[in-house]
Amino acid sequence: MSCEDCQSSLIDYHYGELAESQREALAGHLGACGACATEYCRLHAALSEVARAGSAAPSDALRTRLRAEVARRFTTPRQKARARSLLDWLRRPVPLYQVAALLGLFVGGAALIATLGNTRDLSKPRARPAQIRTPLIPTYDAPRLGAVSDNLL
Amino acid sequence: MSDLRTDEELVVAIHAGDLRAFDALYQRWAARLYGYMLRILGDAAQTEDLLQEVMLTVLSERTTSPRPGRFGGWLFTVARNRCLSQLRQAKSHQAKLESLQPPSAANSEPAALRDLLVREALQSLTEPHREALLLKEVGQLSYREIAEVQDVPEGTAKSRLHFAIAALRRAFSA
Repeated sequence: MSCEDCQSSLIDYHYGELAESQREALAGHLGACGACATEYCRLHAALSEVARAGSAAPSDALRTRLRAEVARRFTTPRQKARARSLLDWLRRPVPLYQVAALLGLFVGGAALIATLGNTRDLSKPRARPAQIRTPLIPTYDAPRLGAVSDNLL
Repeated sequence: MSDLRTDEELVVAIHAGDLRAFDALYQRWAARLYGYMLRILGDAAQTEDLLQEVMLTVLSERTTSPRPGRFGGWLFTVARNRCLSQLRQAKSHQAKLESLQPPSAANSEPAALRDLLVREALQSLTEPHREALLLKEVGQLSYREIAEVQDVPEGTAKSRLHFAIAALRRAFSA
């Protein structure tokens, strides 16, 4: 690829608008030609200035407002009805006797669990762990013990 | 994590009440569209109002849904038309352009000076060239999409863009 061809395609290269084969050829030329690489850097810098000057973001309030409007317009009646029925169920009035009954069940269940956890028959002693006894080997230990006692005397 | 669905799939999902689809579509387009519209209108509050209107229009008009892969061009076309209509209604196009005049050169911050240079360079371009450049750099549209917005052949859109960039670079190096 000549420098002239390269430089005439730099903008398309920058915007990713070249075919794959052309892109590869141009990238190869940029890797080998300092003048074209410099030209590309200058182009890149100039366009970055334009992009930077034009960059701006809408406020978060707009997003929230728009989202609410989209929800209002596009949520289907069935989805709205489902959401509303769940909300209504959560907000429904509950009679006092139901609350008392639920509390009673909760307290009773907790007491039962506590009682079962502490149950032990106190009339029986705790089982002791088996003691480990050292086995006696008279034919082996007797002469040795005798020799020790002789030295001590 | 970005949503991998196409724009058209997202629009269909929004119509089915999927608000996450709306979030994805907004994330994809709102900032670019806002930057472009702000460049035309020059007023942030007015731009936000119009952006909301444009997005709701695009989402509502099922009958004019774009062909697959054409959502960006369609969105910017609607936005451009609304902006120009707004400017015509107000009959203050010239006033708006004047209000877009750069801040005083007395502001010597390097970033402000660079902005000043860019604004002056953009103002020196003709409307179609400036628009092509903004659609590309701010809107990040493809040549094909720019051609759709400007209602010209793709080759024309491309040559407008090349011309605008050459003029811009000349202005920067002057």
